[in-house]
Amino acid sequence: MKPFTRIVALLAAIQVTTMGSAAVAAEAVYTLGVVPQFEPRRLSEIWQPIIDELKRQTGLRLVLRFSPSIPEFEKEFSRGEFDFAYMNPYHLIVAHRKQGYQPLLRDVGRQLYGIIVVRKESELQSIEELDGKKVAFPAPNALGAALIPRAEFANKFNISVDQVYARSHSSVYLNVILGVVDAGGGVQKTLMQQPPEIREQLRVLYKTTKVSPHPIAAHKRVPEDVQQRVLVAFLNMGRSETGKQQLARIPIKEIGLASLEDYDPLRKMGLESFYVE
Amino acid sequence: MKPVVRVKHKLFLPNLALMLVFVIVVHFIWLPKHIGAEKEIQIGKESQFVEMLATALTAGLLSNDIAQLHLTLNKLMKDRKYWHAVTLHNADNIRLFPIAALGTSVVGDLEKFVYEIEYEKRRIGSLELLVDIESLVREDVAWIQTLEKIFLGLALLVSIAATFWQNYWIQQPLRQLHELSTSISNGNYDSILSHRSSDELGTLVRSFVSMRNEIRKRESEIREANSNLSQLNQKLEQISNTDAITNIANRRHFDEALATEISRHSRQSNPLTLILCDIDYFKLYNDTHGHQQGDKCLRRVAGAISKASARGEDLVARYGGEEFAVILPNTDQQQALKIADKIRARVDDLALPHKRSAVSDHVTVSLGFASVVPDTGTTMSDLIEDADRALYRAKRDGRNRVCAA
Repeated sequence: MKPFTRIVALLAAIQVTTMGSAAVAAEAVYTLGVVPQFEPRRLSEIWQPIIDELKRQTGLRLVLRFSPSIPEFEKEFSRGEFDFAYMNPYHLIVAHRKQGYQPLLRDVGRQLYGIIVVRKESELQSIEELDGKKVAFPAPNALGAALIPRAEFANKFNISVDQVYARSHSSVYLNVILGVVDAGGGVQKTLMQQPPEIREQLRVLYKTTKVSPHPIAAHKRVPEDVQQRVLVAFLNMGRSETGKQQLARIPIKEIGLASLEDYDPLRKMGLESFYVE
Repeated sequence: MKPVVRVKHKLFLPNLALMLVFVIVVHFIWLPKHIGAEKEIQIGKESQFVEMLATALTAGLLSNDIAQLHLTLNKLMKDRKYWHAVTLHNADNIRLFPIAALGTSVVGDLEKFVYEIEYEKRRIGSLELLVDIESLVREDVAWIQTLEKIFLGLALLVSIAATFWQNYWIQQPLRQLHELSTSISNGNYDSILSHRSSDELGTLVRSFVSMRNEIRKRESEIREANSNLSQLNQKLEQISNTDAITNIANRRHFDEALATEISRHSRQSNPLTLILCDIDYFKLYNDTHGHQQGDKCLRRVAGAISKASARGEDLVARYGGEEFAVILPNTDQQQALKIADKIRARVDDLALPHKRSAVSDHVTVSLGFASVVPDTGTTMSDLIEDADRALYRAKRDGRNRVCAA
């Protein structure tokens, strides 16, 4: 499949020089990969209208690509299988290093950070006190809820904790409330999504360093003008009411330009050594 | 008065007893057993389910995915209202479900299931269930109780119908028989029976009717015989009171009548008169004209006397051979004298030839009478003697005359 796409792309590239760019665009197919942070059906509901809008505006042939799991997604972008990809900030660092993916756009309306929660009546008052304690995380590589906190525990606070993985943010919070663990890693958004009786029993002990959120990145092989057309189309969507609503579901509150520098603080955290393959 | 239990109630009693037996057997013997057995089955099912559930929870326990465990358990709790409580602990006996500790109050009869969850011989948690088994059986029991009620209602309806049925086939003929026998007692043989069945009661009714007809026939026969007999009796009495020759009252009847009148007049203090009358020279008449002619003479004289004393209460009797007696109730001496003389005149008027009479050429009579107001001491013979003496005087004084005592 892939080699075939490349051949088509190559043929298209040849045609660009002979017959003009409009004709070339009609022949080439570009893929957009999306990190599977929701179940496939929900992803499709969110992204299909966006793809349709992008196609309408750019005249490009774009297709959505879903991966069965995050590890699978990671393998796929590591092999450079997506022309465009919506991924988490850590993924971008890896993807840039391995395949030269460049961030084009991101949510400029908010910042990404992790939180450490404890039981409301817990005696714990600082991160340092967590040394040797049980701390729950959804999964080892969850960026805000696990990866950043774990890196900061080791590099910033020099503590080591007994890590427990609970599969979901909700499970992390329940583990904390029920006293199975002493603290848990999550993000502000999932905490606010918990029912009040859960939320009210938790206290945010610590907020991690804020980083730029998920980028939409492009593979370096994608022609500059194609990248520009997609970028402009996204920005156009951010200016229309319907487009804004569609983007909000990704979720991107306010779409704007992204640069590699935006992700420097993250790169400096040295997350690679905390990433579990 | 002793209360009367009617036949229809007696017939209803077995039905009632049957229903009672049914209720006792079903409600107090079978149902408790059934509930017990049903509970056992439900407990078996639940414990099987708890085992399955424990297995299903293994993955969540191993991965610390409490949210998943909660999702599963909350959904089950919502579906199974009869689960009173579910508690899940992890290997360290920390409660994972529910979030808030349960109150200790336990309502009703709850079954407790405890299941230790193991994974590769290692205890990873325990599941505890409080199940209201009673509520599972309750619906079943309610259904059975409804059935019971329906059955009882039907049984009652059938019993009532049976009572009507019995009323038609038993009570009605019985009542008709009762009415019939009452009407027979009252002498009415014409009532009609409408029961036409061919069963035992029908046979009874028919035999009763034929008995009634037989009784009617016999009664009319008896009535006829009775009337014949009383006619005969009257005749006999008449014969026994009548003199065969003269066809007037005989001496026996006279004695009875006189005794009765004396006692009656003594009670009422009214005058009573007795006339004795003798045909003059009758022996000579007999000798001359023969006994046949003598009897004829007696008859003619009797007839004359009867005509002369024709008042309803007066009694004319043949007292002896040629002697007659007349009882005149409520008659004093003055009236008696008139009647006696009238008798004498009537006989005289007969003008029966008597060749050898010393006083006339025809038959004459002599009369003596006594009139008294009897008292308790007055006897028949007193009165007869007085009248007899007067008669004697009439004869002595020349015959064909009347003498008062």
